[in-house]
Amino acid sequence: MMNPDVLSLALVEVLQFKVLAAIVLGAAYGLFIGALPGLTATMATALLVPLTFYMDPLPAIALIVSSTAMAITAGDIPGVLLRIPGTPASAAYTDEAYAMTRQGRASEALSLGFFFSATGGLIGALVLLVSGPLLARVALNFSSFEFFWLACLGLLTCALVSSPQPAKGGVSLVLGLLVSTVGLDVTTGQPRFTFGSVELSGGVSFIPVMIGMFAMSEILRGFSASAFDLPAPPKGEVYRPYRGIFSLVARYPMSLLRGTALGSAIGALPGVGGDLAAWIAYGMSRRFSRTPEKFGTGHPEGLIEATSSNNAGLSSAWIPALVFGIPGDAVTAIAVGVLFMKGVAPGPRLFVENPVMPTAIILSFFVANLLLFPLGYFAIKAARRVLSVPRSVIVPMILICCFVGSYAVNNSLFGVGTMIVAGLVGYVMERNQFPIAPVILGLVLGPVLERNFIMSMQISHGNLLGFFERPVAAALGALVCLIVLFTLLRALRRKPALPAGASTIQKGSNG
Amino acid sequence: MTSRISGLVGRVLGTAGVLLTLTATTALAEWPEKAVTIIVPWSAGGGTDATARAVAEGLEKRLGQPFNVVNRTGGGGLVGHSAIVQAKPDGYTLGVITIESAMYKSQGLAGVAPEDFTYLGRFNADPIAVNVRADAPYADLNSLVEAVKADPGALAASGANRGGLSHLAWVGMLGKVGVDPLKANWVASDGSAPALQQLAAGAVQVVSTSPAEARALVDAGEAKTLALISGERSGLYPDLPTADEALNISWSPLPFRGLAGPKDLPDEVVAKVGAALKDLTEEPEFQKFMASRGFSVAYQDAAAFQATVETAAAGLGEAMTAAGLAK
Amino acid sequence: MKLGDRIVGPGLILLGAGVILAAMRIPDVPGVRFGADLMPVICGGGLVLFGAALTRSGLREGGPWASLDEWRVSPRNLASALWVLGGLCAGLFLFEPLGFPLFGIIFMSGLMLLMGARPVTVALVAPLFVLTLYLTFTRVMFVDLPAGVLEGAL
Repeated sequence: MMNPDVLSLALVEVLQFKVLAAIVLGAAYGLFIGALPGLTATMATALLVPLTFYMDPLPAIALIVSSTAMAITAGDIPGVLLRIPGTPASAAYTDEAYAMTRQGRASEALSLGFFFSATGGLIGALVLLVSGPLLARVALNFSSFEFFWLACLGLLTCALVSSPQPAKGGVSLVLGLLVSTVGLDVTTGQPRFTFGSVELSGGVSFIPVMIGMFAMSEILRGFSASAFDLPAPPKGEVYRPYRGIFSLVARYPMSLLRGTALGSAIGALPGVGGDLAAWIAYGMSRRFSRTPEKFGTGHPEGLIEATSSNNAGLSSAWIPALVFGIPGDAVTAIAVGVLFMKGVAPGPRLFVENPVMPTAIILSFFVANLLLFPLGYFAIKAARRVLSVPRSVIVPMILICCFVGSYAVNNSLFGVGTMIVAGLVGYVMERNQFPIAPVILGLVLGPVLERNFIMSMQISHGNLLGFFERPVAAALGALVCLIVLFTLLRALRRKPALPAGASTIQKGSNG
Repeated sequence: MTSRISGLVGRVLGTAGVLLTLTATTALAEWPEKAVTIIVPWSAGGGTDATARAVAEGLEKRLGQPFNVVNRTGGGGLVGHSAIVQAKPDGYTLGVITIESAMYKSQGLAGVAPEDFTYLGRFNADPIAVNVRADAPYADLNSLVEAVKADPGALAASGANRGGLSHLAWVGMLGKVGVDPLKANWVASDGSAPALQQLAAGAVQVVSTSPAEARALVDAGEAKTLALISGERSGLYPDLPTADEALNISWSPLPFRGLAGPKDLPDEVVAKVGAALKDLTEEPEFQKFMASRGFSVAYQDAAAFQATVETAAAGLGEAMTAAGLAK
Repeated sequence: MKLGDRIVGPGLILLGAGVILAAMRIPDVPGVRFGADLMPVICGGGLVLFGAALTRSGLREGGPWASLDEWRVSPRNLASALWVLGGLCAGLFLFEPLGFPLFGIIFMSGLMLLMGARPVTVALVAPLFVLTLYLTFTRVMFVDLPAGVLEGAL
């Protein structure tokens, strides 16, 4: 794959005007969609499909690549400024980033979001260029047993990181998982908890839940007296994009490297990669940090690790799709469709017969991620205006966006209803120190967890030892069991000290 | 008593419906006079979505108004199909339906039944194929079936949810050669992609899915396709034998994609869409597009399409009863 | 609304038990050993377990049972919060007949006025923002938002 001839040929392909133009336009479009609360990268890609009918294969794919990369990174902007995460992945660190905004460090939070996303994306693309097909071969060896343990690992980390009280994190997680079971069961197609409603039999989408729990509950809290406990973001902050970013790189180089490595590895697993990487990275960062107590109070370390893993995983998600035609998420599924339509069949033969094509796709990742730096600069400059708008104007605007965003998910008012209920529930949960992030992850990963669990049980005929028979599964399973044991022991030992410590940390992490 | 009242109410509403349709028809002297919505019950980017968008583009060119594709997903297609059924029958909301529409009723899911649609025409039908790992010890379908007969629980097969078409095609075929569908080990998956992943990882032994979806894995030397579960060979894969010839059975569960609308669409809409769809399926550009994705073009007019769906609903209903899935 | 763990805990136990009961009523499918009920039962079990843990710590710590203290706020703030909730709920019924532009402008103007924006600002910002959003969604992104009473005018 690193054959210099192929590389230079691919470079020539990518450096054509129409490809570069597609990348720039895609990025601008992605920035726009990602920054609007409630519109997702998947929607951005789906809307591009009709356009790609009229394009050559490479510009078409480059358009999708750059718009997704940008939409996912830009999804962090409303998260930082307004506490509305753009993707399930960015929900992992929304609270941390918003805590920085509250301290008047919005420009720092945005800068490091863009900078480390782009850097992670660049390193991730490099990893792919060197080891793409190999990585794909490894990923193809993952069966439902390994996926089950990975999902467990991600959910556990999330529940443990997001609350100082494991029981409350656990409740949030289980609630999310429970909501994910609403709808037609994938095993038998039977309706579960649908109360005879056709809309409910389609399940509960995570987007309106996310909008409601984060944005609407935050707005409700803003009207209540508890709003005075925490400062509103100050207005007079000076925005200097990327200022002091290199001292952060120097201070936390391991976070960048670990996050990128984790993102590239987990991202290549079809179906779970993208959403999980940021959560596991954030948890890992806290585990290895010398100052874990600062997490949740507006501390950059976990943000760096999570954002860099996010974009690194984004590019590796394409590998199983390109090498084996197994798309891991909606975006790559659409991309595979577009490739087929253009007469470019994904598969290993593509790498042998036409290696320039996959290499050029990976190179367009480079260009798209490089483009994040300048576009991020303008986005950060523009972001200042968002916070300087008076509250009596911005709050109604956010609510209108929330309404339309939840409607647009499936073109129905059911999404809006979901958002309202989630907003109320989220408000009560937060008021009582139940973390929200695990609900979202539980909802997103619930189906993955359940499907792989049921598949594995069917394959092993109900024998739980079967979950430890394959070597990778055994290692992951042992890790999960260790974490559970460790948490239980610690919870039992330090019980008396919990209340006081919990309330002080909670105050910070809540903000 | 109650049933008599509801019957009466039903008749009154039915009359009102007919009257409404009549007025709608007269008002609609020149359908379409504004944009038409095409509901797709499956997610954006999938096979049904891609074909629907191509069809919508073709209709737009022929009928002179925009045809906008709207994805209404969830519930194994139930949400979207029911949105098509419940749309106002004025011709401005149509949809692309798939074979699942013929299965909900037998599954006991309310809201969508074959008789709830006005059929406009079918444009695609592709059989399901039996795929195994490339290093599996089965040279052909017969040796695989012999292995399943010997120990039905030992071989794990996957491809869709239990009750999904992949499942019914597989156990329906096994049922025809005398294997109890309840004994066969079916691993429920969410579509073919995770099932193929399981096959490559060696966790399941058989995946039944369309040859197009397995193509990349077959090309990679990770999997091989043994046969099509169908009565006739496919023009796109002329070398693949069919289960009917190999096992001497008759079992042809053909997944289809076609255009339909809510019940009682004006005749004018049926005629115009049908003609435009026929014309589109004869266009070389459309045929090239379909072939590039591994989809065949199989046009049927409204009447033939309706008959196909009704036959499929009956056959699948039997298979579902045998598999213990029907209610 | 602040709830003590002494209330939340038992509430969660009840919810968990209810989920388990509901899950057991999902009919079995012949030939399926691990089916639709497995995951809900596990979730219900988790709720019971964590609910018990919270009940224990709640009983040990005491504290208030429940309070709505945070809503002792100015009438203006209370009215705004109620407008948000009421407006969104009303939207479920008015969105399609009124259409997004009209509903959006009414909802937004009301909230802006309640939150203390000047009427001039409201008259300018609300229609401009809503119409821009409407046109962006329907024309640029092909998301079908209902036009309602303004059908044909936009």
